[in-house]
Amino acid sequence: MLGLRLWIRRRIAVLLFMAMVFEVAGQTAGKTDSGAHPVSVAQLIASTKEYDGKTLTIQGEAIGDVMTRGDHAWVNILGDGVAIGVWMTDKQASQIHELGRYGSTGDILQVSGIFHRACPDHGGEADIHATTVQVLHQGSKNAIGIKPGRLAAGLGLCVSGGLLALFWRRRERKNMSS
Amino acid sequence: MSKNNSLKDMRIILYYTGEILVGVALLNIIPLLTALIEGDAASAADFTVSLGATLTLGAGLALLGTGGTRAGWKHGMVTVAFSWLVAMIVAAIPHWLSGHFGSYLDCVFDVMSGFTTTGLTLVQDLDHVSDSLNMWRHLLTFVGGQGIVVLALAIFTGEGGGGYDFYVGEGKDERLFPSVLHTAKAIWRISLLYLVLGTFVMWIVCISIGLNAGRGFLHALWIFMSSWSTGGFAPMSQSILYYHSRLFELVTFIFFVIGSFNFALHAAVLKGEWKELLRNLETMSFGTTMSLLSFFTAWGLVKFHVYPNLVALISKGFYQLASAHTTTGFMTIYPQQFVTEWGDIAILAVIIAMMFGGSACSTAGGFKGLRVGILFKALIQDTKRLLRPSSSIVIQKYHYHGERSLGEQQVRSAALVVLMYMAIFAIGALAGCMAGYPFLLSVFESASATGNVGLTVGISSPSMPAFLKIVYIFNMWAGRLEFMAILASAGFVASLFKGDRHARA
Amino acid sequence: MIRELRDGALATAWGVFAEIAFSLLLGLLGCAIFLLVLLILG
Repeated sequence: MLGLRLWIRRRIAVLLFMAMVFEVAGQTAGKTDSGAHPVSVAQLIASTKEYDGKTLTIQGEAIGDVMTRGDHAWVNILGDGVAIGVWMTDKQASQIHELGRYGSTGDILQVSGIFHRACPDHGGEADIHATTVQVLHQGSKNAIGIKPGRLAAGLGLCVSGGLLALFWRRRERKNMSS
Repeated sequence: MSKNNSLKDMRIILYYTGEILVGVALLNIIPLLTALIEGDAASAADFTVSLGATLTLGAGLALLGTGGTRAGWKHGMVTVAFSWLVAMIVAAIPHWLSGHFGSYLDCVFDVMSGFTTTGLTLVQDLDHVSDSLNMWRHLLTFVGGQGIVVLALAIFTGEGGGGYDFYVGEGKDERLFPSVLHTAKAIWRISLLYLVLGTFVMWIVCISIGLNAGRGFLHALWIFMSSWSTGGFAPMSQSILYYHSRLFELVTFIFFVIGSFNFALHAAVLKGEWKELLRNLETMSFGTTMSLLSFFTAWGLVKFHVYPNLVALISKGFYQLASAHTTTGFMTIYPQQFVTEWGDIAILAVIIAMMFGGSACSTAGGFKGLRVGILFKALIQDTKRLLRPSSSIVIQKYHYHGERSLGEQQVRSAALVVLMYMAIFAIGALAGCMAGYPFLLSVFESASATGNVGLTVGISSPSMPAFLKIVYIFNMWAGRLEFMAILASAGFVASLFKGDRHARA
Repeated sequence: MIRELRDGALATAWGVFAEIAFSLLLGLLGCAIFLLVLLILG
């Protein structure tokens, strides 16, 4: 019973992988032109050839840093576990207040723009050159609280480790001198 | 072998394993400090647990065992193989506590990938991981590059002989100095020199591409650690693609190429013998294979019109190839793009590059340039033998820190190691196919794990079957330690059982 | 003593320079091959 379940789970994993790489491409090719329906970033990356050069819309969390380069900036947008670089103007980037990092959820952006499979201006990267950038939800800081039990366990282990290490070094010193 | 003897052997192995674990425990202080400085109490607590647990286990094992100078070849080999496994399990504690991994197996996979400087990862939502955990992951990869046993040797071993067996067991066989302590220290001196220099340069680059000074410094440190140890971990899920900068790619290229050089070569060049760079068998071998594979990669990419211009070809094609050949694993494309865009010729060239790998006695993996060079010279020698009268003796020369003549023993051991690599690579590829992945992708991912590279076509993910994770962990471990320590350990375990039977009879 | 130290530091600096130059050389070689292939096929 358990074996079967495990087998099924493996099959599902493999199928998911295959779907990601090969099949999504065919199924989604028709939807690309409508700018209104956002395309999932994972889908986009799995089928770069189909979306190449098309105008489309994505949604996702702005993560990490706004990297300013002259009058433009790079912002990486994370959607469905995959992040993609968006090339936008300084002004568009200035709407972003919260970036996704440890302890914070970044602003959720809706970006419309042209997708390049291998952008000739940016060293062949798969990127999006934004035409419009809109903040859908403000991000937020999430306080990550300390777990008191964990700290106590840690300190206890440190004390026991320290004591054992002390005994060990003392024994070695005795062995050395004898 | 009597039961008494094997007990003695085990106590020696336990002692040195404990010593190495204490070294790993002390490493926890660096991420712990990172968390404290940033006021991240939750992560600080996690690292306190990890520090305490590792120290308790390490000191406990050392107390159970017996040290002293009785450690011989067998003990060195078994200790290295065993301590890598134990270190893998305890160093995964912070990973598990962070909540960014699906299972403890995933954590252990990530640690082994770090220690072996591979770079495959099963982390989830990497973009929201704490700085202290990233510090830990990159630190493990940096220390793993130099060798955790080399670290323990540098910390604990006193002056005097012995200890080389440990060092050799970890896949390093150049004696930079007659004493192992000097050698271990020299390796660390070279790495730390470059760490300071490299982090500074990367920091400037990070700031120039738009990161702020604080984050820029951390990213600079991590990316340098990862480049130098040809590791391939990166703090963001997009790897090098995150930075969107050709300058960033160039600087990482320089550091991972230098990182893939032999420590004996570094030692010679930093002493002023820079001409060795242009004559050394290993750098020549690396340059030759890299040029040939560049040709095929370029051919494949240009033929299928994958990239629009030369800059793109180099930033994507050549960078990926160099990352593969030095066994680094930094990526400037998405894993899926290998599959959907690259075409078979370029992928095959990258797979071959991953198998060849960097230099012996370096942080890199793969067959190693030295072995490729030696086997090539042996081929020339045998061809000459065929063409000359049977009575004449053919001496084959090569340059490797001075002129040397090729010996049969060298060829034999090089051929054996290459054969072993091919064997576990085949096992890994077979396992991938059995899990249901397509042939070429299974081959690619297996070459990446076995050669300690870290490039991925997407197979290595939290959702892959558990048995495949275990196979890859084994391949990374065996590939990094270059089999000797593992074969010796297998022999040791077998002898334990045999000893038992004899004792009973 | 001081002279020895200075000589050692100088040798190290040249060594680092040589290693960087050599890795750049390898990079240039690779780029040249890519360019060559692009010219032949493209």
